[in-house]
Amino acid sequence: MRFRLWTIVCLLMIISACNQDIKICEEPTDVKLTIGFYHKIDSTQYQDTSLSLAYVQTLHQPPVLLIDTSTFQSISLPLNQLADSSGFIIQPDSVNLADTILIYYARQQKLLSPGCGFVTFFTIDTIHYTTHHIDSASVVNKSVINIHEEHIRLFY
Amino acid sequence: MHIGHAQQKTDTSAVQKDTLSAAEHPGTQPMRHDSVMLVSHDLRLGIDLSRIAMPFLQPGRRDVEVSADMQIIPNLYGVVESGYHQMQIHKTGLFEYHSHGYFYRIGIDKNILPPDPNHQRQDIAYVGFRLGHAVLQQTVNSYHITDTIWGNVDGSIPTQTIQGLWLEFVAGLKIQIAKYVDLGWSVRGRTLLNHPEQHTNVPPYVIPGFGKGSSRQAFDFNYSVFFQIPLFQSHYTIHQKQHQP
Repeated sequence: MRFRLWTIVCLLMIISACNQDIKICEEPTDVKLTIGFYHKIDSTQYQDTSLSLAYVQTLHQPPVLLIDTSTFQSISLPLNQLADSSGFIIQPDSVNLADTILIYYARQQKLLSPGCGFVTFFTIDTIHYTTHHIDSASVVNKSVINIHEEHIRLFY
Repeated sequence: MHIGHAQQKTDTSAVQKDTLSAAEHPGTQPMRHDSVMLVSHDLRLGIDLSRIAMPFLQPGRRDVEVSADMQIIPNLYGVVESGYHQMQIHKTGLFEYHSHGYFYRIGIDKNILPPDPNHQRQDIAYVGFRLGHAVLQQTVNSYHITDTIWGNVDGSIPTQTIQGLWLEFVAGLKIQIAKYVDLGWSVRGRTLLNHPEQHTNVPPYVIPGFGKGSSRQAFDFNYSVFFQIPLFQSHYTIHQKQHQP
């Protein structure tokens, strides 16, 4: 009798464990490029800063507005999953000329989990940018696999 | 195999012979009290009944698992397990996944029940280990990623072959319910020895014979029926040494 009871308990445990990971997506699926803004004090010193933005939009036509008038210490931008590069126009409030930043990368579609499906991971290769308002830029993390880590620093 | 099949029959002539041999060298040779066991080497074939229920627990999943074991020396059993796995996942609007593969495990079981003085018991309780290997082929027929900014992504991933290697600890019972028929269960803890998920952008949902591919550890439960095929018997001599005072 006890043998049968244990068998039933074990089977119920198996049933409860099955399928949940197929039905439910429990992981964050956002994969975006995070850009942090910094104020350059001199060639070796810098500090994080807030940037008042008029807008940020995609470079491709027709442009898509990603961020509208607001102040940020960092922004997260979606990279193009259909091409190996993405371009963004960053227009600060304080200047007339906007800066353009182009990011070149390799991409790979990956099954995040059965519940969540596929996402695209990116590995940054190079970046190009105009210097109307931007002083310099650096890639601090080439691997874009989530939204939480900073990938690029823009120095103003 | 059961302890009952390792029938412990003392061969008195062997004991007498060894005792006399030891007595010829008193003080220098240890006294030997050897005994001879009659060991039945029955082939026990099993099929895991819990796998039959798998399609009802996980739609799209099919598993078959069979086993064979034989007593090598008293209370020590060599075990081979093998099986087939098939999985289909259809997530509407996300992806279609199909995989199939096979596995085998080899290992040893040790009967931990004390000897039955009446040689009537046919049941065993055992602990053991396995080394498992699986080969899996998986295909993503289609996937879809929704992207409202740059455009949706649609694609497919051709067939990939993935291998898994793991070590497994097992404990269980096998109880005779009829002549030549046993019923038993086992619990198993497994740990992967290789990293199959590192070589693919589609981590396997299930590694055949191991379990969920998303984890490096897996626990499992088997509930099997076994059929015994008597093959042959052999004599196994147990050497016991006792030093003279």
